[in-house]
Amino acid sequence: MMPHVTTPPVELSLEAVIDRDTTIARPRPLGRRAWFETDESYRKAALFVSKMVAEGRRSLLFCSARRREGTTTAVLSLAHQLQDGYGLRPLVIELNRRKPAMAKLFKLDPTPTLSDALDGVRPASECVQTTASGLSVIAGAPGRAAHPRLASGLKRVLAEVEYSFDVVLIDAPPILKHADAIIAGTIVSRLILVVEAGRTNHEVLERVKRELSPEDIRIAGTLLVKQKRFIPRWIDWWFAR
Amino acid sequence: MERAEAPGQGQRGRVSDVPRATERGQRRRSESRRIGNVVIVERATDPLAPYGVRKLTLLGIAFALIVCAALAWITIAEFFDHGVYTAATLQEQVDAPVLAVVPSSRTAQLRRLSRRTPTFESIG
Repeated sequence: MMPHVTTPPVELSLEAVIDRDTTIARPRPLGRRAWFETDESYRKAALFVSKMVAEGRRSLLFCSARRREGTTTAVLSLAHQLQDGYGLRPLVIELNRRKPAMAKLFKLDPTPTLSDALDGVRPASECVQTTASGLSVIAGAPGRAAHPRLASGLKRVLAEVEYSFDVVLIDAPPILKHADAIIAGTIVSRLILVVEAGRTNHEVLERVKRELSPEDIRIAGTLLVKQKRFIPRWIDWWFAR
Repeated sequence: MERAEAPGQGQRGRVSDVPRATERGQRRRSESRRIGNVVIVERATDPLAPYGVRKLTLLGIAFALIVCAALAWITIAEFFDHGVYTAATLQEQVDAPVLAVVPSSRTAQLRRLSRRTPTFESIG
């Protein structure tokens, strides 16, 4: 008969407990290779953005050429990476008034929106809401009419929030669809262009460049998203040996 | 041994035998004349191979045609496709650095982001 062995209780230090709980709370890809690759790609982009922040450029405008290229996804993923990987405090501002998605997506209060902050109805700090994942967001307001004082309002909002946050990521509507991105570009001159692989073509990119050049808006960087893999991984692996 | 004939029957038979024999002879002659104009040109033989193109050849031709059509399709599609697929092309086109190349994910990324749990860094 086996003797009954009792293990002595392990005394965990506070740091160990925090580390354990953090590991549990942190979302891990757990074998989902696509997720892992996606996260790693955004981590690389976050490194670039963190360098820009270190240089003193604290607001970035994200937009695509056309609709449904994945700008919102890119902005939110990047914000998460900046927050989790680099310890920065990002703020995401949703500038898209045609199809605002963040309030619905994160189940936020629909009342304090960017429109209130732009109009000066509420201070920008009151319009900031925190998502379940701890991300600070100013949700966009649905509306068809263009905001009359977008440039001045956005300038004021950025001035208000730049002391509370390390980096401000603005999710702008498509350049070729709405003028809001161009107007915001005159305030935030550093633009990150989100390009969907295979969908966006040379002609569209030329049009984007033509739209941006009169306002002297510079494309600071690009994000190539939704890149499909045509060659199987094992062939890549075979040739990379 | 002679067969006994019925009275009056022998006379009638003799009279009618002449035209019947003539008729028979004529028929035989005409038949021999008809058969005589048929000549066997060639004896029927079993075919050595089936008639027409072989199945394997047909399959080969079809395969070659499909390959040609596919190549033509690819060439035309490639000619008209001006999409940006690689980071190098994008960098050349926009003249700006490519921060990252994000692979396509089958699952909805946005929905996944909305379900993301808070991390230690975001809490504290």
